[in-house]
Parts: sequence; C-alpha cells; structure tokens
Amino acid sequence: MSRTNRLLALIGAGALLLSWGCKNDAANGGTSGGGPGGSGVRPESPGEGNRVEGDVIKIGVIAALNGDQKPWGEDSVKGVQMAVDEFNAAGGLDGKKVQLIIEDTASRPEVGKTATEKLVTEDKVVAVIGEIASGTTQPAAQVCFQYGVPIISPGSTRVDITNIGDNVFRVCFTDNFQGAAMAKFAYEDLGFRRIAILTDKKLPYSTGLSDVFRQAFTDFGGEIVDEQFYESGTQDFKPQLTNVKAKNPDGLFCSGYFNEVGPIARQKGIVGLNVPMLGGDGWDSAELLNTAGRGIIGGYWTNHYSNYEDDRPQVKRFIDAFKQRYGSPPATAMAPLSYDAALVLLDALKRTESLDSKAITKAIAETADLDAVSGSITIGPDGNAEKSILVLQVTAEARDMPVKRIEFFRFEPKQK
Amino acid sequence: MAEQLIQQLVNGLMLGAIYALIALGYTMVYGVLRLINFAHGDVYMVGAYLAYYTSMQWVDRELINPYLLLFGMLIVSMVGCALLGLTIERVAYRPLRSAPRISVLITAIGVSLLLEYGGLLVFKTAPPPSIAEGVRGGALQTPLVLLGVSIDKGQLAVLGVTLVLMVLLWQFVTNTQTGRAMRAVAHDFDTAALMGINVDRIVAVTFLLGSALAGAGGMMNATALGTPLTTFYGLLPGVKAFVAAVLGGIGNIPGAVVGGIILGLAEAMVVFADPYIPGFELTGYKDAVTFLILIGVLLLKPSGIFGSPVEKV
Amino acid sequence: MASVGELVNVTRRYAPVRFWLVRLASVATLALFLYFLQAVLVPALPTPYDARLISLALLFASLAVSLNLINGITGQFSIGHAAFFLIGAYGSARLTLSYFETQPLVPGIWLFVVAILGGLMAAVAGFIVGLPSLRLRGDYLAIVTLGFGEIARIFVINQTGRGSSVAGLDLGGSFGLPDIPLMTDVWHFALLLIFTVLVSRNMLQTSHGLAFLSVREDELAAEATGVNTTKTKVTAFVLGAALAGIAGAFFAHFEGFITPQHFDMNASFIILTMVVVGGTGSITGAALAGIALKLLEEALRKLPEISAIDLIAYLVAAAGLLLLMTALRRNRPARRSTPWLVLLCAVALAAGVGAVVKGLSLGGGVVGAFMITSGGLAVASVLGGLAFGFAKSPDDPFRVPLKALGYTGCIGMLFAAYLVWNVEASVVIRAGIGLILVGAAASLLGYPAGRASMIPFGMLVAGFLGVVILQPVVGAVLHSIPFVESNLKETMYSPSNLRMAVFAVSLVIVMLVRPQGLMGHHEFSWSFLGKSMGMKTKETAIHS
Repeated sequence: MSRTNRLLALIGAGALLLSWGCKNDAANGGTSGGGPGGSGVRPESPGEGNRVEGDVIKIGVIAALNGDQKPWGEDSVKGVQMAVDEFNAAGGLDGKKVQLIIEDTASRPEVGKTATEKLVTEDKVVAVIGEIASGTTQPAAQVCFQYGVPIISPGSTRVDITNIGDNVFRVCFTDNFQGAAMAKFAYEDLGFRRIAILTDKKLPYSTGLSDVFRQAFTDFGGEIVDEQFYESGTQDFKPQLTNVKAKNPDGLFCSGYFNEVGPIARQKGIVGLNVPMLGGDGWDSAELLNTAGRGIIGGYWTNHYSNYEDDRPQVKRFIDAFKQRYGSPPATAMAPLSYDAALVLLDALKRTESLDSKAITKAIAETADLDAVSGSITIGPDGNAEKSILVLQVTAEARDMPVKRIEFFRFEPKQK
Repeated sequence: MAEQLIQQLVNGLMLGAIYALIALGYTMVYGVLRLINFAHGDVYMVGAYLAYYTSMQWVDRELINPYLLLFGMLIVSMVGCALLGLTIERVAYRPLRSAPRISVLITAIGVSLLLEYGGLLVFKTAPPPSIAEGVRGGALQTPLVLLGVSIDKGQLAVLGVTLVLMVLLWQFVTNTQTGRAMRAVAHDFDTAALMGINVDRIVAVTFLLGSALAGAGGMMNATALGTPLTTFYGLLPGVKAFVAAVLGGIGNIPGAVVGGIILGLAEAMVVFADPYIPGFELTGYKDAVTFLILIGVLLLKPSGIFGSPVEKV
Repeated sequence: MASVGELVNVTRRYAPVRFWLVRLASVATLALFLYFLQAVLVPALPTPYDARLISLALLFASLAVSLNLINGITGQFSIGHAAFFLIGAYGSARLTLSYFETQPLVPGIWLFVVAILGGLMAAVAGFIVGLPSLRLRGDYLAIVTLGFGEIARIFVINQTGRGSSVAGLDLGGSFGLPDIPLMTDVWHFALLLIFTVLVSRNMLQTSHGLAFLSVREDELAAEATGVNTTKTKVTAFVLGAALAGIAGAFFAHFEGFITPQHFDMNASFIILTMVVVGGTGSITGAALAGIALKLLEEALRKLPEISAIDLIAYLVAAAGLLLLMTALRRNRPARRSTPWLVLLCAVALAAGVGAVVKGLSLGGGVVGAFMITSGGLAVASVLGGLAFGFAKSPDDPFRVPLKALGYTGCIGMLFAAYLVWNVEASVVIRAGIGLILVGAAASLLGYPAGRASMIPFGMLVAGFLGVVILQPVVGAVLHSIPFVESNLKETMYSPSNLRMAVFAVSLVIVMLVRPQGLMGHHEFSWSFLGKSMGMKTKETAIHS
C-alpha cells in the first residue's frame, strides 16, 4: 500500500508540475463567456464565425426532441421548418437555399452544449436558432459566443442570457418585462393589492418570473402575502393552496408551466380558494382549458399573441398555414416564437452585406419593426426583442381572449 | 389554526392515498420477487393514458352515463396494465430469475426508460393532454365540506378504493390457495418450488395484480387531479410510492398503505409548518423531507414500520 | 560515462534507487503521454467538437470506474452516484466563484486545489451515505442512495441566496451557476481516468482489495474470517465518492455552467448503466462502456431517418427472436429440444441467404460487400457446422454451427469497424467505436474465456442477422394492414430522438443475454495481451 501511495503522490506531483507548464493554455481557455450583467455594453464575441460556402446556407437548430421538454422542442422545430420552407419556396436568397440542421438536446444542458458545438464547429452553420429552456440556452450561447456565431433563442426568458455577448439574441420578451407588465396590470387595471405566488422551484423560468413579479408588484405598492413552492411533476397542490387561502389574497400568481397550473386551477376550488389566477406565457397550451377546467376561467395571463387577435393579419395567416401543414393549431407558443426567430434570421440574411456570421450578427442586431407573428420585433441594444405584450383572459370559450396590449417598457427595480 | 391543521391533515391523508395505491403494487412485487420494479411507476403512467384515450372515445357523446364511463375507464386501465405487466414480467424479468440482483434491477430501470422514452413516440404528448374535468359526473366535481374542511370526492374515492383493495388483497393473500402459494414463494423461492408450487404462475399472478393496481391508480389519480399526461407522469409518484412501501415494511400490504399515508401527512405537515417559520421557505424542501424521513426510519428500523424483523434485509 | 549494464547493476544493488527510478520513469511516461495528448493529438483533431467528445467520454468513463468501486467491487447497491458528482462540481465551483479572483494561484494549480477540496467534500458525503450501509443491504441501501441523490438536488435548487437558503448560501437555485472560469482541458480528463483506474486497480492488488471482494461475495463469511466489513464498506463509499467529486470539479471548470439538471436521477442511471453493461466489478469494462455509450449517444445523430412502420417491424422481429433465444437459453444443452434448434438453424440459414440477396440487391458498395460476405459465411458455417457437428457430437450437433456463426460474427465486427471508420462522422466517434469493435473481436478470438463464449455470441449473431432479414417480411405484413398503413405511413423518426429508447432496449438486451455485463469480471492485463499473442506469462493479477 505504501508503494501505491508513493506512486500516487508522485503522479499528483507530476500533474501539478505539468499543469504549471500548461498554465498558459489553461489561462487562454479560461476566457469564459458571460459579461457583467447590467453594464449595458455586451462583450464582443472573440470568435471568427463561419461563412456560407457554395449554394447552401446552413442554419442550425437546437431543440429538445427527447425528454420532458419534448412538447416545446417539437413545436419549436415545426415553427422554424415552416418559416424556412416558405423562404425557400419563395426563391431563397438569390438562388441560395437555406438548409436546416436540427440537433436534439435531449432536455439536458450538457447534451445541448455538445449539439451546439457540433453544429458550429463540424457542420459550420452560420447561425443557430434555439433553445427554449434557459438552462440549455445558456451553455449553447456560450459556445456561440466563443466561436462568433449568432444565436437566436425563441423562448428563453431568463434575463441575463443575452448579456453573454453581442451575438446572443431572443425574440421572446424577458422575465423582466413579462413579470413587470403583469404586476402593473394586476395593480393598476385589476386593483389587486394582496397577491400570493406559487413558484415551480425546479424551473429556472418560474423562479425568474416570480422574482421579477415579486419585486415589481412590491415596487408598485402592492403586497406579496405568501409564496409557496412545488416541483414540476407534483400532482397534488392542496397543501400549498390551503396555506395560500389562509392569507386571503386578491389573486394567485402562478409562474409555472401549464402542466402544473392546470391542476392548481382545478384544485384551488376544492380547498375553497376562489380568487382569479395570474400567470405568464408558460400557460400557453392548446389543452389549457381542458386541463384546468372551470377554476381558471377569469384568470389573466400574458402572451406574445392571441388566436383571437383579429386586428393582426399575420397571426391569422400563420395559424391557418400551420393548421394546413401540420393538421392542428400550434400546441404551445413555441411554434410561433420559433417561426419568428427564423423570420428574424432570414430577414437578416436578406440585409446582410456578406454571408458570414459576423455580418449576419450585425444585421440581426439592426432588426427593426419586423412584422412577425408575435408582434412587431425590434432588437434592442441588449439583444432582446422590444415588443408589446398582450394580456389575455381565460373565458369559458377560449383560453386567450385579448384584454389589453401593454407597450414595451424597461423595468428598473428599486434598490432596497 | 386548528381548522388549518385539520384541513392540512385531510390534505395529507388524500395525498397519502395516492402513494398508498401505487405502493400496494410495489410491495406485492417486491414481496414475491425481491425486485424493485422501477417500471411500476411507468405502468401507472400507461394506466393514466389508457384512461385518457378511453374517455376521449366517449366524452363528447352524451350516450353514456358518466359513472358508467368512469367504471369503463377503470376497467380498461386495469386490464391494459395487467397485460402490460404480464408482458414485462415474461419478456424482461423471467429470463433473469437466477441472475444477480443488480442485473434485474438494471433491467427494471431499462424497462422503465423504455416505457418513458418509447412512450414519447406512441402517446400524445404535445401538448400534454389531461382527462377533462367533465368526465367526472356533476356531483363528483364539487368538494364535500364537513365542519369547514373540504374534501375532494374524487380523492375520497381513491382513499376508499385503496382501503378496500388493501382489505381484499390481505384476504386474498391470507385466505386463498394462490395467496398462500404467494406467501410461500415470498418466504422461500426454492423451497416453494420444491413443494410443488408453480413459481412462474405465482409470479405472473403477482405481476398481474400489481400492474392492475397501478392501472387503477393511474386512472383514478389522473381523473381526480387533472394532471396533464406526459410519459414521465409516473416518475415522481413512482419513487414516492416506493419510499412509502419501504417505509411501511416492504412486502407488507397494510404497511404500504400506512407508509403512503405517513408520507402524505409528512408532506402536508411540512407545508403546514411553513408559515410558522418566518423568513425561511420550508415548502421548497417538501420532497427532501420525505426522503429524510425514509433514511431516518431505515436507520432506526431497517425492515420498515411493519416489516417483520425475521426478514433478512 | 557508465554503460547501460553498469547502470542496471547499480540499480539492482540499490533497490530503493531502482524503485524510485522506475517510479520516476512511469511518471515521466505519463507526463509525456498527457503532453502528447494535449499538445499533439488535440490540435490535430479536425474540430473542437471532437475534443469535447473525448473529454466527455473520458469523464463518464472515470465516473463509471468510480461507481464500479462501490457497486462492482464492493457489491454495495448505489444508485445515487450523481449526488457525489454534484457535490464535487458545486463545491468547487462555489469556491472558484468566491475566491479565485482574490487569490494568488494560477488557474492550473487552483484547479487541482479545488478539485481536491471538491473531492474531500464528496468524500464526507460518501462517508455519510456509507454509514447506513452498515445496517442496510441490497435494495434498501439502493433506495437510500437514491433518496440521498434527490436530497442533494433539492438542497441545491433551494440555495438561491435568500428565502430558502441555508445560511445565505448561493448556488444559483434551479438555474445553476454560470460563468465558472474554464480551466479544464482534455488532458485533465485523461489524467482523471488514469488516476481513477490506478486507484481502483492498485486497491484490488493489495490485501485491502481482497477485503472488498470478500464483502461483495459473502458479507457474513467475510466478517467471520476477520474482515472489518464496516470499515471496508465505508472506505469504498468514501473513495468512490471522492473520485466522483474530483470528476465533478473538473466537469464544472470544463463546462463553465452547471445546473441541478446535470446531476438528476437520469445521470445516476446513465453512470450505473455504464458499470453494469461493462461488467459489474470490471474496471476495464466500466471504462470501456463509459467511453462507448457516450460516443454512441453522439453517433446516433448521424444516422438517417427511419419510418415508423420500418421501426416497428424491426422491433417486432427483434422481440420475436429475443423470445426464441431466451427460450433456447434456458433449455440447457442436455434438455435442448431439437425443434428449437432446427428453428434457430433455419433462421440462421434464412438470414445468411437473405443477407446475400440483400447485399446483391444493393449492388456493390461497402454495405453490399459486407452483407454478401457475412451472409455467405453464415450459410457456409451453418451447413458446414451441421455436417461436422453430426459427425462429432450427435447429442448436441448445434454447438459447432453456433461456434462457427460466432467466428463469423467476429469477422463481421471487424467489417463493422471498417464501416464505422468510413462513416461521415466525427473522427473521435469513428475511432472510438471502431477501436472498441476491433478490441471486442480480438478479445473474443484471442482470449480463452472469450472463445468459450463463442456459442452465445453465435446466437447473438444469428439473432442480429435474423432481425435484418425478418424485418422486411414483418414490414410487408404491417404495410398490408390498412389501419397501420393509414395511421403511420408518414411518420418518420430520427435516430437521435430514439436515443434513450435505443439505450433502454440495448440495456435490457445486454442484461438478458449476458447478465454479468459484457466483460463480466474480466480485466484487461498485459498477461492477457501476451496470451492473445501466444506468449506464455505467469498469472499475477488477482482475478475474481
């Protein structure tokens, strides 16, 4: 044993020496993505990026086609595919066709990172669209930052993701805007003063949205009377709802996905908590009314668009085309958002000076007033889409009756 | 506060009934085969899906009495899951009867992953569907209010069915020929075979019963709680139910029910205690507490609450 | 200047000097190897994606080897290994984020410091989890480790720096810790794997190792012979956990971003699968399975889409054959009924003929050539084997054809390696999977124990060929059913989406065909290599 120990000690010493020798390598590799949040200036990507060779413009898509986020991932791929097929059918870009390379992230961050690295370094795509989950977009965006390839996330609302670098964009709104808009609507339009929050501890999306809502609602002058937690996969929420009922709130803010919001809506009637529910775009599902039953009727939530928004022709056209192609309307908001992400990219392709990642990044950043399904998209200096938000009400007939459109504003939390 | 406490105790009891119903099947299979059937939670998931598809066949037609529909869903789920359980046992577990325990455990994990990820290709998942509220007849939708405590009738039914099944199973295991054979197999596999018991048949019956119970659980919980169905629907309840079974003394039928109810009560009590600890969000640790209780109980009494000390664990 | 002979003499006389010389030389070799890997091999790779694949494969191999220490060598059920991985990763990442900027060490040294600290933290956790193992056995311990894994994950998602945090600890909650400085490179993972393998191997070669094995084989008997089972089991947990913790620290500084999702129950299951598929108790098996499964996962991205009906046809054909083969498996040769064997031979014959026909229809190309060759070999081996077998052993004439099929399969594996090498995929995947196939073929052909398992392997080959041939038949039947045809005609699946399903199916199949794992308890050793070259060496390693 002592011989073994000495051998191991020697190996350890050798490794330390070796690492001393390699310190330069390590330090070079140590330039992590992710600039300081809130400084306003996003770090410039150090990578060279890829350029289009031949007649095919390769675009990568990362989506969860496996695992628990599959419903969103599948919808996302459908949306992107539809946009790209329409673009190619219309002649492409001066005869050049766009080719999609779709890779699965298996709902796992490290697989998502591997997939992105494959797309960027092996397939040499000029741009990447994806992912939905913030936890997977974060490492994917870091890869894109490292190699200088632009990435557009359709659905990651986590605030600090676009701070990674100047080539990270998104077409959805951030939690910062969504949470603050709902807080504003609840305080000003609904006149609520006391609200309880239910948060999905397992979802970064839910915790992020709840944080902003809590901050914003308190800043407006309201009071958060209680915050209860659950984990995705929980099926019985009555213990938490009983606690909430004891605090007697005006409304219940549920920041989770519809998977849990539905049962919460059903079960809150059982414990006798009869207050309206409020929520974010995680509610969007074609099955919402069926899942949630009567308990959700009268609830308010924010989304990017509404199926009943007759004043915007893009929505109707998109939904009709989607139905025709896939046989049913989009299951979640991820289909239109991914469609929009592809639109932003394709629009940038048309405006770009040369077909390489750097130029495309620049063109995406200059996107202004693009008429997309989820609203008129302008990419702000922080890489986020500046667009209005739609407050919807759940009625007995439809889950998404438009109530109010709130124009884009920047929410600055008051320092405590 | 007293009312709050009673309401939470009732909530816990109802929550525990869910775990108990699934735990019954777990405990039977483990008792006979000494196998953690990881796929049990996934059979439960399949049961919920079968109930959903059955309800979709009739939900829009006013032809059928709602109670009859519920009964039909229950039968379809139980029969479907029983067949699934038999198949799994025949294909995946029986060939491994003499293999090391870890191989069987791994096979169970493999079957579980197969049902979860293979199910993604077969079942409707986008968007996750759920059994409509209207499937429960009108009278079942309103809660039962007793002395200021409200109880969901659907979950009351789950509790009732769990208790009835527990008694029936107990009777079956103690008083019938097959049940005695089952206990003999559970006690000593090889000797039972030497005594002329058809071990394969007994194991098949065990799987049939256990899986039918999982199917019933899937149908009842999906209808009562309205949780949208994904193929991972059975993951968390499956693990919790297994904990419940271990807690009560695995292999012991009343133990599974008691374990499930203790687990449900513990979770409800964690949530109940939350407002009394200001500044600390205790509900975030709700699921961790159940596992802590499990570890604590196992350390103090490794065979579980009702497990016989004779059984070598 | 002293001649080499004098130097040898001197080293003989001064044993300590020789000892240190040998050690220095081996460390120097190791350093040289790592330098070669990092400075020559990695830059020569076509893309950074390849380097990432190597890193991940090595990482998972070391995780599998560290779990093997607990599960395979000591025989304690642990299905929560990701928890130790998590503790090492989060512990080291938190330290780096808090203190790296303000301390004097360079990244290369700092990484080793936090890796050791992360390993220590995980070791403490391993000690805590190991304690119940004094009272619990088998499945009960398994469920405790599973529970511990969940507790660790739930603890992390609650550490947001406020509210539910314990003492204000900030681990980023469910979002995780972003922006961890990147310090780990490929050679760190290679070093990690070598270190993990050495610790496991050296332990097995000392008397301590025997204690571990004895606890696995029979705890009561071990205790009776004076083995301190308590100490042994806890040591196994502490060591396995510490190694996983170091792996976690390296991973955190490689990925730059860790979330609780990296370390969930699925991660534990994946590591466990690697150990079990590779062979419970076999260090070589765990390491190889770790590398192979990780690469396979990525290799599936490259396969073309498959229609739902074809897929179902494959599954039906495979299920049918699997049933046939498990039925055969349980019928021991003495009781083996002739009808089953006739059926098997018929399947093998049909498979061979079918493969030739299919190969011809493909009209040349590598695949066509492969199918013609292997199909022809299969037909020849079955026919020839039948003739030989009847002459040789009239009781069980099918041993010979099955053996022949097994040898055919070995040739098939070499062909497959050649095919994989020609696939348009990452060079790491091609080389990794190709090498493993060649190695498997070589060990089957060269190792006596491998040759002994030629019959089951022959059955496997027969089954494989049978699936390939039966599939179009089943497919045609399925196409003729109007319900299936109308519902599934246009459904296509991409293999990478089937990844986990493929994973699960192969897991079940490996367990059914070879419950002790592919390598069983066998280890790679130099004497094995020598033996397969036909050299005579004395047996030194402790085999179990």
